[in-house]
Amino acid sequence: MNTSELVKEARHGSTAAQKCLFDLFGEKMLLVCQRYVKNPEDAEELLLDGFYKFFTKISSFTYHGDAALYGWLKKIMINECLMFLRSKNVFTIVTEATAEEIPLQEDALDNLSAEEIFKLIIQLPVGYRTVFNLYAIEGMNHGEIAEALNISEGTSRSQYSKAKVLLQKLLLQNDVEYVKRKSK
Amino acid sequence: MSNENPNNTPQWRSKLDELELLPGAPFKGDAAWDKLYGRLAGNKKSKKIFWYWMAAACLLAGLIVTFLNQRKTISQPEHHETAIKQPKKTDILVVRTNKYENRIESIQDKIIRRSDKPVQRNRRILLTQVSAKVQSNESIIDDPEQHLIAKPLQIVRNSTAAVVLPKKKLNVVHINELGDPVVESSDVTRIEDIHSFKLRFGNGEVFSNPPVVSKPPGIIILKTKTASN
Repeated sequence: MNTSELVKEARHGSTAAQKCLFDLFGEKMLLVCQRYVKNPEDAEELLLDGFYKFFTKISSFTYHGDAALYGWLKKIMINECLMFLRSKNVFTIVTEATAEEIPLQEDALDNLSAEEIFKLIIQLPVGYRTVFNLYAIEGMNHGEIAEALNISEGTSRSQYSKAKVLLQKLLLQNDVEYVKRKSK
Repeated sequence: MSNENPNNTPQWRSKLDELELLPGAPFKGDAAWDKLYGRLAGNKKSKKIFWYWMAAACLLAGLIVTFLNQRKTISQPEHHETAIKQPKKTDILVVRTNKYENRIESIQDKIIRRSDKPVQRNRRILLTQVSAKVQSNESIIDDPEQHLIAKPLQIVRNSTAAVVLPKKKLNVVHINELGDPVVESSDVTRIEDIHSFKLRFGNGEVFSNPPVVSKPPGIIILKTKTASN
């Protein structure tokens, strides 16, 4: 059974189809959640919340391919994570004056594997991590991030800058392998 | 500082999207699914329960409405029972007052003119009440002599005036049976120029203008002739 048929069946309330969809996308979505929420229990809870919403609102979803489905699911998960973070009010307030633009070596992360990037990102503090995820990975601009997180644009920028500084520090700390690769 | 996302790291995104497995602890998909399934099943149940509650609420509302309606319909007659001493149907002479309103008023006027005596004064009160009730469409005269002194005349809703006769069984004539007002008849109109009225009760008492000699108990004749003056 392909994904479109699974979606159709799930729309009619088929538990088997729902289970198949969960098996297909569950782990990937958990990775998304853990990029935002470090605690694995919280991340799993958010994953379940996200899938619950997905299955209850699947009738409003029109299938346009696997990528669209993946994108929709990912959006649901990110929204769940942001709601969770907002409810915890975890964003540290940094004024625009203190924010400074620090260029990140563009190739610094290119040479790292996906797993290494993931581990680096989840080491960031929650505010930096969230803004970094939204800006560098999801491709949102600071205006959108400010609106999504209910913070100012300046705060978003400063958080992103600080995230980059911290990432560089972390890269330097774990840099043995990176340097080795670069020297090759 | 530009607000635009340079997004100069698309390879991060693609790399992260490629990442399929969680680094570290493996994902316990079945356990997670069980939890999710529990929630989804709970949602279905709660939906069902919601509809059951809705149905129950509608049923209850319907019952309450019907109960209240019934209470209204019951309480209305009860209310009048308290106000009116209901005489037996057989004892009541029902007089349709709509048609005879004018007659009663004229009778009242005439009796008032001759009401020097205390008894007649009482009768005047009675007739005043009768005419008042005529306007409110229905009244009952229950043993007139007794009510003249003790109680005021009580009101019935519809357009009737009723006279309760004493328990002595009498022939009752409905005034409606008398027909339309005054067709010239030698039985009723004895003198052409005088307007006469006779109201006779079973105990032999007669209200009249001019006063007439009472006839032996039997048929009650209530008939008037319209005044020409």
